[in-house]
Amino acid sequence: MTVPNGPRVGPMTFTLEASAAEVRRVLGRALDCFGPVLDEEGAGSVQMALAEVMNNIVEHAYQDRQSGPIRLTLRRGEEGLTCQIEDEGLPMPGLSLPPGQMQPVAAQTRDLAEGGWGWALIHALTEELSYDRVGGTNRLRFRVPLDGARTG
Amino acid sequence: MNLVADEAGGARVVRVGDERIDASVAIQFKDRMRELGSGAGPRLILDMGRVGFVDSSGLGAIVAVMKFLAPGCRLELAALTPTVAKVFRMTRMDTVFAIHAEAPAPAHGA
Repeated sequence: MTVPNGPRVGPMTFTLEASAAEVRRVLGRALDCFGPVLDEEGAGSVQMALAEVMNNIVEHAYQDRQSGPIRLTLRRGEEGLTCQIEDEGLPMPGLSLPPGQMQPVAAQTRDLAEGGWGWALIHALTEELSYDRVGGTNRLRFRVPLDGARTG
Repeated sequence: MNLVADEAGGARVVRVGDERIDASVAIQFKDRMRELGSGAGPRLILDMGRVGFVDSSGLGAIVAVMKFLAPGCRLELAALTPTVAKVFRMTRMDTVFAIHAEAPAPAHGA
């Protein structure tokens, strides 16, 4: 039996202790689970968006301590992959989403930035991006559109 | 990290054997590239044909390598897979690097 606009899967929740190695492991697990219902470009977009969000948590939300929990919940719906990422680290500055403008490219090689693309990538790859601070928890939600609904 | 250097097509070529250049290996990648880039001629080509994913930390590490090789040696990229090409395009870093469709074939024999 086929479902119009593709299959639905989930929700599935993955938990990890925030670290770069754990982010890599969970991205692999998430792709194992959801890869079959994503096309190659969609799988790439999902992986990019989730990697940037979780790397930011490792680097910024938990900057004042060794580590802490991250909960990632994914659900494949008709319009794309709905994602919720929660952590118990520091709140976003100003309790709001960082801006999503892609920084300009420096003219000189020596002046090129070596980072600062994360939030611009997240904004560009997602729809309905929202942030809430609920008690001591940061909750980020978005949808990665799939099936060519939007291209990067 | 699995990085192997050889000389091909008049350039030093470093072939990345790992499937990912991400936050968990970014520092290691930079350190190894510093070793493998020493004594390179005017061009170093990074063969990315096996790399399926680069996050912004990995991208930053590649830019850092370009910066420390310059001005004596130019870092060029080859064989970007679709998701990797997309991150270069979205960040406009595709305008910074010479990007080749394929890496030069390894030299045969001795």
